[in-house]
Amino acid sequence: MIRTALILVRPMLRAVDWAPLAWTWLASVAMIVAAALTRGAVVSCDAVVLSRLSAGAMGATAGFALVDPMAYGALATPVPRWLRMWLRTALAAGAALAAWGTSLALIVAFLPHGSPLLAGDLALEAATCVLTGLSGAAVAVRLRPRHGRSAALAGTAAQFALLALTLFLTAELWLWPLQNDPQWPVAHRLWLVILPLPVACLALANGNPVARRPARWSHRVMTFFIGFFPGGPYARTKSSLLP
Amino acid sequence: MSLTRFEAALLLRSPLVWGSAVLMVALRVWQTWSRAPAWPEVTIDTAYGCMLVGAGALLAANLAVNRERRHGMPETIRALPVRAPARTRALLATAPAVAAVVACAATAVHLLSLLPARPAGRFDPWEALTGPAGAALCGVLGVTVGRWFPGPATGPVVLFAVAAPVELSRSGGSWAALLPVILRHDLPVEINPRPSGAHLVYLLALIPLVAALGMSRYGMRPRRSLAALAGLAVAVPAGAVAIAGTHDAVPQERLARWLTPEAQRCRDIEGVRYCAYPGYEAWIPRWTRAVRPVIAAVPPAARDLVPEIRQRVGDVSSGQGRGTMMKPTWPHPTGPFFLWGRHGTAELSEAWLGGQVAARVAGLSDPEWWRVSITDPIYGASDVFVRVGTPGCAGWRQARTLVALWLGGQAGPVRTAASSWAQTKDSERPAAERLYRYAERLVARPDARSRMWAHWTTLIDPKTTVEQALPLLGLTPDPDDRKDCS
Repeated sequence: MIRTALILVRPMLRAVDWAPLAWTWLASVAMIVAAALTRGAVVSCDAVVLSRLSAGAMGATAGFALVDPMAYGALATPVPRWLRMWLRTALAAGAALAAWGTSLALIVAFLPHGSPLLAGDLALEAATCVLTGLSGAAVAVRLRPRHGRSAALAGTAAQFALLALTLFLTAELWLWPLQNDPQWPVAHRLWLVILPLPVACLALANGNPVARRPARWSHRVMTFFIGFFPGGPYARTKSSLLP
Repeated sequence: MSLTRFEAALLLRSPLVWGSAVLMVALRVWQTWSRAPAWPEVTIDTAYGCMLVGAGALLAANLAVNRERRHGMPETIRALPVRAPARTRALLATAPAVAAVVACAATAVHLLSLLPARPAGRFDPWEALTGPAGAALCGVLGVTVGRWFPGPATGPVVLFAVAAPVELSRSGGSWAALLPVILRHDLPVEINPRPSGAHLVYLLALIPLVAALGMSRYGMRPRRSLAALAGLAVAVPAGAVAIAGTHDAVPQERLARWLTPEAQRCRDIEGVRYCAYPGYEAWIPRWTRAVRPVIAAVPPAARDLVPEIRQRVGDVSSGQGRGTMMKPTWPHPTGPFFLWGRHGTAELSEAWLGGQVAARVAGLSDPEWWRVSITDPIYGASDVFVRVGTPGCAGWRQARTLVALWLGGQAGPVRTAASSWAQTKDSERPAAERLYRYAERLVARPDARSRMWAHWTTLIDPKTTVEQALPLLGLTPDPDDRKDCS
């Protein structure tokens, strides 16, 4: 299986649509440079905000790497769907986190001398954001494999939902403290608790299609939520990898 | 026209648009739930909340404009008589209108829901309209970037490019006036004038400018150029005025005026003088509720010790990313800031104000809380803290400190009441904790008031120690009393 995966990596690198992630990376770098040039430096609190926003943007666009125009055709190949999807997920998450990492490196380069930046905790937030975006897109490409590239916008929706829901968490549950806030360590323990949720969602969505069995509860849950997925009248293509 | 109607119906049905509006109202209700509302602050934050509607409209408009590139639509659309410019025009008219209407409705719902709580301060309609104008701008931006950069990822990327500067503007800079919402404000908002009118005109002028940019995808026509030029001609001067009107630091003469008693309006209630800044008189009944139980516990002969309750200015911005506390020009400042609790937190605010009155009545010296609060600009304004001060080890040994704690305990929890004048250092914590425990026992005793009144002059004498006071108050010393203090 590992050998199959290794063989698949190169063609998949070519097949994946990297443009959205590249644009996001460019926008985030441009924003950091602009902030540094207008202010002379990126101060710590701005650095945290920039890091979070670029992580969110990367998560929102990383999902485009999961869209496979050959999703149906590839079902007949001997390589199982879960392997292809997890490989795509790993490539997308790796690329998104690498892009975020370069943004963070740029931020660190612009930090005033001696300013602290808790990069490990920020990386935890970024990983959760990227995986949330990917999990939204993974659910969408599973339920609407023929929807095309815009199915990945479900990842943006998931990212948006994560942000919106966390805004309701206040006081001890506030997830976006600044570095000098005593809440910082508590918040990052919470981030650690949240991290498995998108991973579980990815595990559900990246599995093999189930053949000729009554719909599993996990699929029912996904179908329920995808019912809200925006797409207008054209989203109503009934093709699905569900039985 | 029918195309416009069709697109409007589609956009209104989009869960992105109405979902974000529902989300915005829910979020704003949640955020304002435990704060007594004040119009200036509420309108600014609601305008920022409207950016959620703007974000939803931007994504929905972007999806709508890219629709013809998805799902085999190119073939279908090629057969239709209406060409891309007409479809774009319809969307450019629809997206901002729908976004503005939905944002207006959400803003109105939220602001009207606050009316029963009688918000204080002056209502600035221009500030309230900034939100819908910003949302409309986002809608038209979604169409324009969708025409110039077709591709489904454009929406999220543009959203990032809009959100990042808005969030960064929290730490100041007059360029914030060029963003959809001027997020940074002082508390009170009124102390630092905001260019709300010019900013609104600037945002409204950007809408035709961005729309013309979107249409220019199909070549520059006289009408498009005219719209762009007109938008530019209004946006540039309005933006310049808005930038000039945004101050990083509160203007000095304005600050000086605000720190004098003449800036306030006073009202005598139940023998106590309450003074509020114009517009904030609506909060006086809330303050009365806090002060009344404390005064009821003071012996009638000592009631002339009750101070004037004057509203105070908290920390105000004094330059990029820096804040400072302001000492008013009246002596012994006692009074609330521009914050008050609601729905469960009002009790904490009441205890806090009651505690201040109690400390003043018991004759505790003014703590040195006005000294400094200017922080290192590297860490930004979020680091600004208020040093409350402490009565010191000598104070923790005096009986009058116990009196102050008990009086404060009439308005709410003893420790919350004490937090308004005592921020103990670690080395004095045992001595302070000991007094807090005695005060809590006293508050629970029904005969505490009669004993206090009987020995009032002895108790508030600075020479009386806690040990001398305990038998007078009918308290037995704790066996595990720790008095260490340094």
